[in-house]
Formats: sequence, C-alpha cells, structure tokens
Amino acid sequence: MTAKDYRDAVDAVSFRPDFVPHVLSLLEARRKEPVPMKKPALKIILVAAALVAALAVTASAAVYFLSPGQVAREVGMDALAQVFEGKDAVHVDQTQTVGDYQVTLLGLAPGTALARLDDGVSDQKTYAVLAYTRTDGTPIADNVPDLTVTPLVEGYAPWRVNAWALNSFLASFVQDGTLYCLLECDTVEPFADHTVYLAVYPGTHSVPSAQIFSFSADGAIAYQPGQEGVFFPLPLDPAKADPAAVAALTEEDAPPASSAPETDPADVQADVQLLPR
Amino acid sequence: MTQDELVWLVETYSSTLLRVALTRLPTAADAEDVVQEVFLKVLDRAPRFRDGEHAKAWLIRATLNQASDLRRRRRDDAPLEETALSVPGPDEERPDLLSALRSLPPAYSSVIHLYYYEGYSIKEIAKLLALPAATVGTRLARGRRRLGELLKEEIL
Repeated sequence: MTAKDYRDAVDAVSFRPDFVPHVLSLLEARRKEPVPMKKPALKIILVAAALVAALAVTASAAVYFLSPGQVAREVGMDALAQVFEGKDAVHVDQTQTVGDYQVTLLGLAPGTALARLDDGVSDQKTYAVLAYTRTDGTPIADNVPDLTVTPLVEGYAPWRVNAWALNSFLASFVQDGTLYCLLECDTVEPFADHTVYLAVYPGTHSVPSAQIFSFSADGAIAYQPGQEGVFFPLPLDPAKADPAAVAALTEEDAPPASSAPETDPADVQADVQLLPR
Repeated sequence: MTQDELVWLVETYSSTLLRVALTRLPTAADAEDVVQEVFLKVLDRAPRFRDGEHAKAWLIRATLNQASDLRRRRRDDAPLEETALSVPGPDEERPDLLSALRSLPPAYSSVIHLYYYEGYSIKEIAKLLALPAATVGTRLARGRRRLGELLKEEIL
C-alpha cells in the first residue's frame, strides 16, 4: 500500500453532497431554539437532595445515583453491568468537589475481574463509573462533561501515563440532572504497586500538562497552585502489579529522557483556557 | 463565536473531519452523524479558538472522541486483541483497506490516516493529537506493521 492507494480508498467513500448546507441548517435551527424554561419545583427538590447529600456520609452517595451496573447497562454494556453487579467489582462511592461540581466515583471494575467475559468487554481494560452533579443543585442538561478525567500513576509523569496514553474512551449521559460517565482505559492493574489516581479537573479533554500538574523528582504528582482538581486513589490489589507489562507499555511509547512535557506548553495552556469550564 | 466563524469552520473542516471519522466508523452515514454532532457541540459550548490550526486540532480530537463514543454505544468497539482476531485469517479473503484500518486499535488508525491522507509529519500529528512525537512515531510504525500483516502487503 502506498499513500496514493490509501487516499484513493478514502476518496472512494461518498458523503452526502449537501452535507455542509445540511449542517449549517441544523446549526441555524439550534440557534433559534428557545432556551429551556427552568423548573422551579424540580430545582427545589434537587437542592434539598443536595443538602441532604452534603450532610450524609459519602458512603451513602450511591443511594442517590444509578448504580455502576445501571450506568453500564445504559451505555449498552450489559456484560460489564453484570461485573459491576457481581462480587468482583469495587464499589468506591467517594465524593469530592471540583469547582461547581460534586464528583462521585461510584465504582471500579479492574481488568482481571472481567477475564471470563467476551461481550465486547476486555480483561485488558479498567472501567470506572463517575457521577457529576452541580454543587448548587441545578440539574445538568448537557451530556458533555466540562471536566477531564484521567488515570495518573505516581512515579510516572502525568504527560506520559494518562487517559490518552492508555487509550481511554468516555461514554456519558444525563439522567435526572446527573451526568454519568463510564471511563474505559487500558488496564491500570500493572501499576498496582504504585499509587494510581483518577484525576478530575476542569476542561473538556484537557491533556495533562506541566501547566496543570507538578511532577516531583520522587514521583509525586500534585496540582499546580491555583489549578482546581481532585484525586481519587484507586483501590487496586498490589499483588496484581506487573512491572514487565509496565515496562512494555512505557517502552512502547518511548519515554523521553527528561520528565518535561513534549507537547508545546503554549498549546496546552491555550487548550485549558479556551475550553469552557 | 460568531455565526460567520461557525460557518467558516463547517465549510473549511467538514471534509477533513468526515474522513477522520471514517477511521473509526464503518459507514459514511455514521461519519456524517458524528461530524454533525461535533459542530453542534461547537455551537453549544462555544470554545474560543486561537486560530484555524488550533480549531482544526480541537475539531479532530472531538471527532475522534465522538466517533469512539458512537462505537462504544453500538457495542462494536472491540479491544485490540479481540479485533486482531476478528479480521480474516490466512486462508480467508483479504480485507479491504479501510476495513483493515478500522480493525486496528484507534490510536494507530488515526495516526495512519493523518500521516497518509492528510500528509502531516509526525511532529505535526503530535501537536494535533497532543501526544509526544515519540508516541506518534511508535504508533505509526506499529500501525503500519499491523496493517501490512492484515493486507498481506508492504506498507510504504
């Protein structure tokens, strides 16, 4: 195959000839849509629920949310739902605040718990379910989270080992004013002899950078001063650590000699600033 | 974002984004759905772009994410190992080029597309996808090797 073969194959695919005017008409129609009316009664109920939740211990958070199994089923992953509903899943139910959001890590399904499944679910993946609500109780309407969620591993620079390097996917939907996210990424269990975090911080698809995180010589990761964000330590079994697999992974992506980010910091900073929060 | 800016984005980048989406989706109609959704998100979320190149990078990443999300929802997003097993074996018919491309891990197929179709250098792809250049180089090499195995021919 040459580049020309490839271009010819792609160019042979026909798209609707009116795609551009079609999209423009959709955008115009969307612009003209009226802003949805607020529902005061619902808002009051949700504020009350938020107050109750704030007073409750975090372990009771799941009472107010869909279960991880229900979330998996909602995005069409019935096999994963069974895992979340079985004894192999790790139910976390920890809540932290990021800006205007309460973020709850509901549960985790580390790779090896999925070994017997083949329904599009892999034992080489880690799955995490999160729920976002607004701190003021206002229902969330947009199913695109303006928060970034990424695994990070102490001892590895955030710009080397993260959701992008681990081939993550994020499926999300809104139900009853709560945004649910199911994160899939390459299994993090090989890193289990290190502290593995799920980091959540403002910005849509904001790549971990030196502007967001500091990475010290001893491998510790922290948010830069003034940067909002939280860490959820993941309860992994250290016995599942696989240094050889980690070496293969990090070798595959050819880490640089220094820990400095290779991405142009100006670009990353621009991304962070340009994306809505 | 003004209406003129949005119109410019749609007119300038639709073609590129439709083809990028094809690296993860099986039909032109799927790609159209995804790109249309990306532009609606631009309208709803109104990101501020520094320039055309920055907008292009943002749109490409959004399209790839949206395409992956659609695959996931349709439960046809087989992981790397399973995908490799799902393509035709040695005695079966050779897959067509785009089918073979889509059977690669998404991280590989997007890099191959940007390199072979859009003509970007490794450094430019690294900037577009916010990845280290070394990572892009590795993914390109591995993707090319796997594609060559699937197509049973050398990838130049």
